Amino acid sequence: MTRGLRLVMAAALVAVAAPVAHAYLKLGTEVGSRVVGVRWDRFPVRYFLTNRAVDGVSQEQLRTAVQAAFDEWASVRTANVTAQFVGFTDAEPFDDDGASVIGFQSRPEMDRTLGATTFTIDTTTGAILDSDIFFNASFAWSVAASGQASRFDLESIATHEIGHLFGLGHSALGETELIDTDRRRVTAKRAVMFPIAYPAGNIEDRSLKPDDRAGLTDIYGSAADRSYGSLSGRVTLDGAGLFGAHVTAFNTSTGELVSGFSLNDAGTFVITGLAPGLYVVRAEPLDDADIDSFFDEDTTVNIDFRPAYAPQLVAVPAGGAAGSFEIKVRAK
Amino acid sequence: MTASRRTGLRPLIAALGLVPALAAPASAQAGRGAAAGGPPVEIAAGGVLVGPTSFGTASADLLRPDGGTTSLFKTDNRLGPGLGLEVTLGFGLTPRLFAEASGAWIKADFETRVTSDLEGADDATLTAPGNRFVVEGAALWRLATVGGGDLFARGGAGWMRDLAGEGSLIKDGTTGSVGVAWRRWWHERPGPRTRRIGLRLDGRIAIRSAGLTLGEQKTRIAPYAFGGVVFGF
Repeated sequence: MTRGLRLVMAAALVAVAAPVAHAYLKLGTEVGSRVVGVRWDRFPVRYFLTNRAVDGVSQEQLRTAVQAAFDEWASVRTANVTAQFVGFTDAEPFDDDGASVIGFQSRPEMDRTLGATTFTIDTTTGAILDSDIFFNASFAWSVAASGQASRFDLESIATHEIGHLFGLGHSALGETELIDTDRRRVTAKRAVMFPIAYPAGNIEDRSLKPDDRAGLTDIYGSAADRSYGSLSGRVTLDGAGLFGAHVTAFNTSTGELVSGFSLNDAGTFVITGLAPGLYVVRAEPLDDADIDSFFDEDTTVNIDFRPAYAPQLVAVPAGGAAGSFEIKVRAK
Repeated sequence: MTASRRTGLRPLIAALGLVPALAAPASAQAGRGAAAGGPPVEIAAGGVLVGPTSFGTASADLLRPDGGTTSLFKTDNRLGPGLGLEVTLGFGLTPRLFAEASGAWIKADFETRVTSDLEGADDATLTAPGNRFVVEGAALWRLATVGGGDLFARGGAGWMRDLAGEGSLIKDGTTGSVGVAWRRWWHERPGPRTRRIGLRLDGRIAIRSAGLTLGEQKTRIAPYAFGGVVFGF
């Protein structure tokens, strides 16, 4: 078994940063010539917490907040994930110790990063062997039940990072605005896994959204579960497949938004974990996003097209897949 | 054991005998007044036309930090007008009262109009073909003789199944209907069992609850018309 490949990747949650768009994304790694999703093979995920408190958060409050965040993910009824607190430790997040360690570290040089997640992966299977999470102690933190002005809510940020720990990448289900030439802030979003946090004091991200649940279900759902279904299709521009288009599925009956990306040169996409129903499906460019929040830094994504809708309502059946369809977009 | 079985059969036999017993007065009534009454058993088959049903509006919303929402786009949803077939089987219970069971298949498209895209996508009208199967039980009460036929008040309730996506998406719901039915016999062939052929026209308000929807889960209504041939036995 080959171990190693420690990924300090797009799994950082930032206070202020880049992108726009909408979608859940699974983290992947190359195994031979193909990319496989990373996931845990064994449950419960056993984790340690650092024995370090910070201003506003005691050791015990850290344990409670992290436990609540794990419980939120474990409550997704269409997926099977569990976690177990083992104890407090002197170890640091990111130590190469074979243990999953979660806790605070002071990283003032990472002045936009609230937290980050790393993995040790079996590079022959994509299985996660351990995963560490750090919360940047250079920011002010809170565990107040209703949040606390000018302090970031630990449980909300932990919920985001634990999504990474389970193998989820960033969602693009949100909107941002520029606050100077290269910095953005979130104006609205509908996914905990969006890469930019709500402002300090906000506790909305303690609760998972449909996009987050769908992403977890995609990784850890059961094929025998008939409570959800999937849709798939292609995004094309002038007849050719389009990589990196952002595709959103909207259930008009429940109001749920879930989305994904076209992830190859054929422009194909698959979105699963969807409640059965009729969906409006929309494709749009990642036109004001930092592409490296979603893909590798050297990835080229065409953002020079107009948003467009699938030509029909898409019927997602229980326990099955909607027939494939094509979304034709036009250049700007 | 044998005696017990015989005892158990008696209520069943009595129940089976109840239908002809109840039907007999209706038959006699029909014989007395040609246009006023009807035979005890009727089968009708014909076409159905259903008006559109609004499913209301829905907005694809993101959540702002202040708790408000930002809409990605808005949708206006409905079930389009439908065409179908219906078959009914009715029994005369009294000279005025009929019980009826009906089954219908209706084809109608689900429709969504998408507007107000946050990033300027063109408005679009999206559809998905749908099929609905309805089974209903109804009671009809003869009100009067109108235009040479019988006019009934009709009320019913039942079960429906919506299908979309080439039948892969299935959702069940309940239905109801209230309205009037008009039936006129135009051909009669006297014999040991009187057989009649006539015309039946219904106008109803159809009520649907649950089933496949595009907007809020609410009870919806739509105009419903049936026209067909009725056979009396």
